[in-house]
Amino acid sequence: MSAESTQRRAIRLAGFSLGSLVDWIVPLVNLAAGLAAVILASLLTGNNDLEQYVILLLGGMCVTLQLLFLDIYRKRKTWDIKVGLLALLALGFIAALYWIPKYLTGWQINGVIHQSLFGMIFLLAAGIPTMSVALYDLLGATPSAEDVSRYPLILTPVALALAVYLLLISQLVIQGRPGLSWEIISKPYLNYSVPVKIMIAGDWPKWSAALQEGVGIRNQILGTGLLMLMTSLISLPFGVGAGVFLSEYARGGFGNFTRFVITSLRSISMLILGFTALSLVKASSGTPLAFLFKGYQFDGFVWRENQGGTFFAASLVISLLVIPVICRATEEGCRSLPNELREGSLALGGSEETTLWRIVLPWSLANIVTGVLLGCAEAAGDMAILMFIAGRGDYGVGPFKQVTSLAYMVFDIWFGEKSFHDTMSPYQFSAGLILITMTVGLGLIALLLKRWLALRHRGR
Amino acid sequence: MNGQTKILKGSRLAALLLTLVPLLMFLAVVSNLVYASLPALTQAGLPVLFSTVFSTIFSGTYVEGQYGLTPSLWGTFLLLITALLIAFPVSLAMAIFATEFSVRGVGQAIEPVLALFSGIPPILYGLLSVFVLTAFIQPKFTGMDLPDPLLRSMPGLSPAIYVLLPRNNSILLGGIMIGLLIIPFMAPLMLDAIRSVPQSMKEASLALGATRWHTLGHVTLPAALSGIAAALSLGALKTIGEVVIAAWTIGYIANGLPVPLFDILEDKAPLASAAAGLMSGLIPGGSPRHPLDGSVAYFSGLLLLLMAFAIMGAVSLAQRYLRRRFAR
Repeated sequence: MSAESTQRRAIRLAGFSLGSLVDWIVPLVNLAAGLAAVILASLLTGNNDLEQYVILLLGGMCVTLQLLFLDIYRKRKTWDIKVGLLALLALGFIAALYWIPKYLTGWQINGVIHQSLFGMIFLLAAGIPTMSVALYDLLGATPSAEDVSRYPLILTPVALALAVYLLLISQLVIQGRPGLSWEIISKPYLNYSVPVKIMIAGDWPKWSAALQEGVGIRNQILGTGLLMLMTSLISLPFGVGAGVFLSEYARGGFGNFTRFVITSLRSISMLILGFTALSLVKASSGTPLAFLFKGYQFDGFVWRENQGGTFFAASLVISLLVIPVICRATEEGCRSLPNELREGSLALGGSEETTLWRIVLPWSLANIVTGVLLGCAEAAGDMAILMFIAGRGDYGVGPFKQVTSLAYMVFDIWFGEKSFHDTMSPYQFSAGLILITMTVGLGLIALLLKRWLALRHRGR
Repeated sequence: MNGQTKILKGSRLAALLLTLVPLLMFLAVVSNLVYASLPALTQAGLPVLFSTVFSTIFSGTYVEGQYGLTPSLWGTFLLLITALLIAFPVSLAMAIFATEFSVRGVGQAIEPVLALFSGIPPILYGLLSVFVLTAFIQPKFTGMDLPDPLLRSMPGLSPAIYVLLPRNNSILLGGIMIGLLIIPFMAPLMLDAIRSVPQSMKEASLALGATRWHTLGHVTLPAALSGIAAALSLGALKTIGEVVIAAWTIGYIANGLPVPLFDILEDKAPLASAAAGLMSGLIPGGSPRHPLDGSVAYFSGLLLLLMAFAIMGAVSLAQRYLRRRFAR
């Protein structure tokens, strides 16, 4: 008994420990292979040189998947057909990559597609399921393991999208940061003639024109601020009024129509509003109202009409876009008021009016403020409405001067006049950086303020 | 109007008056659009407006009065499909991650992050498209690393080879950037839709032994379909109405249908940016080249308005059907 049984026990122990190790290692290797495939696929987006590793990795995945296939049979005595098919799929992908030429053209497609695009797709298509089956096996093939095994499918797109956003924003910071300086922020861009007095010997002083030049984005920053201020001032009463009307008084057909219009204002193309702004400005040209909508500028010698429209005209049209935001926020705030509070006020003898001013509006203050801030961000970032009426802000910033903003400037540097492009193109990303700081900062303030105000006025 | 009529006074009257202002402004916007597009309809006529030839100063021979909007309508459709194909799966995955499949509360962080991303102005997606272009489109779709003669000798190239290399505008690039724009708007709506499915329904499914994944696929998502349709419609509306990104990444011109028809690597401008180009005469800060140009641009705006109404109507019909189908 002694020698033989010891030997058998040793073998059994060795087999057992080896088996438990295999239990862990095979799915872990599969998980790692799947993860590597997803990472390689995301690296491949901008890199054609890594393409040689695709077939290598797919081949490795094919082998590890076959091992997993056998391992699952060893552990649970079932042939997991999914894993087998996945291994075959990886094999098929390798064959396809051999068959696809390195540069794919044909059918008069307007492009030359590189093979690694298919490599990317294949890696994602094989990598995510591989991670799933590996996780499923690793966690013991229970129903809850099936839930966990779906995480790769959900997390991969989320992680990739967030990575794209972060990469783009970091690029904006990297490209925009060097151009930012107090010089640029504090000076306006100037490119127009001003009258200067020229002394000519033995003669009376004469007036002549001299070109004022300067590089900077002060007027655009101030203009964005003014646009936000005017738009929120214009749209606040109408937005709150419409919101209160919709939540408190509107019944039947007229309420539905109002709701439809408010939704439509958000949904229609901003191009239409841009055309509206253009029509408004054009229609006012030559009439007494030109002062309001078209504006005048002093070009050195005479006052003449602007090329485009004023800040007032622009904020009037942008407020069409902002009113629905404030209206929706107000309505939501009013609706979230508990009925007990309203009834309590009415029971204590408060009139409908008192209830509105003392109970309903303070309650929805958090929503209103958030709506206004988001509307401001909207006004700052809007470009389509300014597209046809904005200028470069040469003549200063004021409610009745030609509208300009950072968003329009970013566009104008790209598409505008060559001289403007040449002088300002180093600061394009800087302008973008300031713009994104403004809008996202407003969003952040709105988020925090909503929480704080809700805590203060509602106690939760 | 339920029996008791109340006198309009005080805040009630004020609210009504304040509400009337945006209503009237909206009516003014629409009537201005219709009025200004009448000359295009009467002088150019529908057959001209819906032909496939759109003559511009960049299209070789410039013939005034050839206003074919069909290519730009098709471009809008291709752009819509591309942007939604990119944005829909990602926003659905984000919504699921934030609600049903959250990892230890990490998913809850998605919502404020999306709220911040939704504040990024469209113009910046246009500005940043250059990085997507150099990091993805150029290496994968333009044969950048091929020498020029070899590239031009490749079989089956587009006859419009001149649009291929030097200009890198394409519907694909526009679709990617607009997809990035609409994800932060679509995902929160889907998230709300999934969150508002009654807990009792999910718990009933879980109690019957279904896994969380099975519950998601067979109970939660079908019940949330109406909200998901609303999110899709918002994405579609934002896509067809987007001017700036389309102008930046695709351009202003759509002349002739793409060959083959689903070639998203061509730069067929969607309706919005084509109209903007028409309005500015394809020159920065310019004006229409021909009196009718402006009117055709307004007509394009009218078409966009009708498309928006059609999408809204279709989605509200679909929502009504879905609510009846998955009544709860």
